[in-house]
Amino acid sequence: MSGPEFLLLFSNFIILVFYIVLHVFYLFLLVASVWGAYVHPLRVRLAAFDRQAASVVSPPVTLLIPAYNEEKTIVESIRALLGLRYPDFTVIAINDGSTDGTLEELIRCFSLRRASIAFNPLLPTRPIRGIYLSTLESRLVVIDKVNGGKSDALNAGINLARTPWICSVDADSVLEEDALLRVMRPVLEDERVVASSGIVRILNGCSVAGGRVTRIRLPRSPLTVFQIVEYLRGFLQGRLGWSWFNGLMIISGAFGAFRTDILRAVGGYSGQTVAEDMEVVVRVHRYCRDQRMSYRILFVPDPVCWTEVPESRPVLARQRRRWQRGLAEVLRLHRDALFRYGMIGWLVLPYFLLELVAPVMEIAGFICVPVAYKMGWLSIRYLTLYLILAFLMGTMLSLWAVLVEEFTYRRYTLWSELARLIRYSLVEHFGFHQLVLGWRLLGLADYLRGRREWGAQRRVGFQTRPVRP
Amino acid sequence: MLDAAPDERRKLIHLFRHWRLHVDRLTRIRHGPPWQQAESAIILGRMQVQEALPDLLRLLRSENRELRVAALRALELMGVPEAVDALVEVLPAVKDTAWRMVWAALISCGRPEPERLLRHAFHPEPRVRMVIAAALGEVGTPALLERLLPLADDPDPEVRTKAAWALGRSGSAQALSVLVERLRDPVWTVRLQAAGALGALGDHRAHEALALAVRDPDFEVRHKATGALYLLWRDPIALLDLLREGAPDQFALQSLISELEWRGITWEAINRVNSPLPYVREQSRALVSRLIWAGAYAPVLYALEMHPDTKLRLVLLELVARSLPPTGHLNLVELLGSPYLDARTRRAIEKVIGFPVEASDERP
Repeated sequence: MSGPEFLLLFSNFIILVFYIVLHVFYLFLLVASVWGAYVHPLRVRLAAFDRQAASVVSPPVTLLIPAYNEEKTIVESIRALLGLRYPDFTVIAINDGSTDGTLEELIRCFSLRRASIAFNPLLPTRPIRGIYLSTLESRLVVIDKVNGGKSDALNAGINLARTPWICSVDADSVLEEDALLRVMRPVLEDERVVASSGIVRILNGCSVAGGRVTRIRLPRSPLTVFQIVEYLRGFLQGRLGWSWFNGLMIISGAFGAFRTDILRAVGGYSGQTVAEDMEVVVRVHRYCRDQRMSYRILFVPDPVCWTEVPESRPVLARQRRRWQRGLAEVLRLHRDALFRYGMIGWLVLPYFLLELVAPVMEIAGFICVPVAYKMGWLSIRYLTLYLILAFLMGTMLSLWAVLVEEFTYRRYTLWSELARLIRYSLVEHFGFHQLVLGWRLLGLADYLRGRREWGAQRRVGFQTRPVRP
Repeated sequence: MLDAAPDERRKLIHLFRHWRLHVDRLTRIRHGPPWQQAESAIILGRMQVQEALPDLLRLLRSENRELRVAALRALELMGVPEAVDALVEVLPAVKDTAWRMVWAALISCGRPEPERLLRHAFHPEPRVRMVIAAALGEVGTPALLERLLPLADDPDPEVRTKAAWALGRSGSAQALSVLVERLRDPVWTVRLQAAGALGALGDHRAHEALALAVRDPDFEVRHKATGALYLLWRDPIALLDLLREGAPDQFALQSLISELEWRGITWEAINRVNSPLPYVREQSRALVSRLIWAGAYAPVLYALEMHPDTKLRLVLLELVARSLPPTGHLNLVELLGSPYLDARTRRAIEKVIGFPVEASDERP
C-alpha cells in the first residue's frame, strides 16, 4: 500500500468513525426527544394557566431586553412584553449605546423621565449614563449605558433587577401572550429548576399586529424555510433531548429564564465570547455541580418566542460564522470541564466538541471518499455506509423534527405548508447543509485568526415586514 | 373544559352534572391509566366535584410524580378545607419539588377555614411550618396571624422569614417588638422580611429601629427599610432630614431617593414646584432642594433639559443654584451642551454658572 493510499484510507476511517459517533449521539437525542415530545403536551394539558396567571405563588420575574440600534422594533417589542399574562413582572430595557434613535423613541413613546435609582453593582459593566422610569407604565425601566455588547447590557439589567427570576428577551423577538406563564410553569412544579427556556420560532413570513403574531405562515424565501427546518430539528430534537437528561447546554438569549441569585453567583454573562447564552449555561451547570446542588435546567417546547432570521445569504453566513466561533470560544473557556462534572463533561461537552469539528470532518469526507472510491481503494459497502450516514440519516432527522412539530404543536396549519416543510427537509442535506458547513468552517478560521466582532443585522421593523398574500 | 373561560366553565359544570358526565370522570380517576387519572383529576377539580376528594387524596400519595402534581392542582382548583390535613401530611414527602404547588393548594383549601392551617403551624417539620406560615399570611385573619408570634423565633431561617412576612399582615401590637428584634437577625432574608413587615404593620413606634435598618450592610434590606420608613411617615422631607442628621449615610440616602423615584414622588414634586397652591408649592420646593443636596441630580437636570414648562424650569434652576454644592455646577456645564435647551433657560444657566458656553449639535 502506497503512502497516499494509506493516508487517504486512514482519513476515510477517521471520517467514518466520526460519523458513527456523531450519529450515535443523534439517535440518543432522537429517542429522548420522542419521549419528551410525547409527554410534554400531556403535561401542558394538565396545567391550569388561568389559575397560574393570578397566583401569588408565581415568583416575580424581570424581563431584560437589551437593545442596540433597535429603533424600528423596540417600542413594539416592549408593548408586547407589557401585555404578557403573568401576575408580577417588570421590564428592564437596556439601551446599549445605540447610535440610532432607540432611546429617543423610548422616551417619546413611554414618556420616560430620568431618575436617580440606586442599584447594587455586583457585576461590573460599562458606565451607565442614565436610568429612566416611565410616567405611563410603572413596570418599565430603561437603562441607557455606554456600548459594551449584549452580555454587558444584560449584566447591567441583572444589577438593577430585584426579582428572584430574570428572563432575557431579544428586542427583535415577539413573545406569545402566555409564553412567560408557560416558561415559568416548571418552576412552580419543581423547586430544583434554576433555568428554563422556551422554543424560538421564525417570524419571517408571519403577520404581526400590536406586538402579537396574528397569522402564522411559511416565508417565501427558501433560505428562511431551510432555517425553519433547522430550528425545528435543533429545538424539538437537540434541546428537548438534552433537557430530558438535564444536559441542556444552550438557553437561547432570545428567550430564557434564570434564577437571579444563581446568575449573580456565577458572575453574570461573559463578554469573552460571542456565544454568551451558551457560556453562561455551562457556568451555571459547573456552579450547581460544584455546590453539590440538586438542580434542573429545562427546555419547554410550548412557550414560543418568535424571532427574525436572516433572509440574505451574506447575513446568514455572518450569523453562522459567529455561532461557530462562539462555540469554539466556549469550549476553549471551559476546556477544564471536559471529562469532569459527570454527564456534562463526559457526554455533553464531547458532543459539542464533535459539533465543533464537524465542518472539517464532513467537508474532508465530501472530498476524500469520492476520490478514494474513484481510485478503487474503497469498497461499495463503505461508500453505501458513508452515503447513509452523510445524507440519509440527516434527512431522516430533519423529517422527523417536522413530523414531531406536525403531530404535537402544529403551528403551520395548512397542508400545503406541511408539504413544503417536508420537501425542504428532504432536500436540506443536498446543498443547504453543505453551504452551512462552509460558513461554519469559515467561523472556525475566524476563531483561529482571533476575530471578535459581532456583525450587524438590518432591522425592517414588525409593522413594515412584507406579508404573504 | 380545560380551556374554558370562567363564565363558560360555570355553565359547563352545570351541564356536566346534569348529564352526569362527572361519573365517567370518577370512573377514570379510579380505574384509568395514569394519564387519564391525571387528566380526570384536573377536570374534576375544575368541576368542583367533591365526591372526587378521596381519589385526589389517594393520588397525592402516589409514587408517580405527574399524578401528585395533578392532584395538587386539582385540590387548588377545588379549594376544599377537608384537604388541608392531607396536604400537610404529604408536604414533607415532596421535599424540594412542588412545594410551591402545595403552598398554592393550601392557600386555596385553607381560605374558607384558616383555623385548619393554624393547627399545623407548629409541626415538627420546618418545611411544613414555613409553608403554613406563608399560606396563613395570605388567608389568615389578624387574630390568627397573631398566634404565629412564636414562629418568628424558630430555629429555621426560612420559617422565620415567612413568619415575619405573615406577622406584618396581622396588625398586632405584639408583633412590633418581635419584628424589631428580627431586624437584628443574622440571616439577611429574615431582616428583609422583618423590615417590610414593619412597614406593612404601620406602627409608628418602629421608626427608630427602621432608621437603624436603613444602614444595614445588605443592599436589599436597606431598600426595604427605607420603603417601610416611607410607609410609616409618608413625609419624604422629614425622612431626608432624618438621614442627613449627624454623619449622612450615603447608602441610606440613595436608598430613600430610589424609593421616592419608584413611587413617583420625586417627579410629582418637580412638577409642582410652580403650583398655585402655596403649601404644595413650598413643600415641593423643599423636597426638590433636599434631593439636590442629597445628590439626586438626574431627575432635576432632566427636567431642566426636557420639561415643556419654561417657568417651571426657571424655578428649578433657582432651586439648583441655591442647593447645589460648588462641584455640582459641572452638571450644569454639561447640560449646556444639550440641543434641547431653549434660549431662555440657557441664558439663565449661564448666569448661574457665571460664563457663557456654546451649544453643541449633538446630544451629550
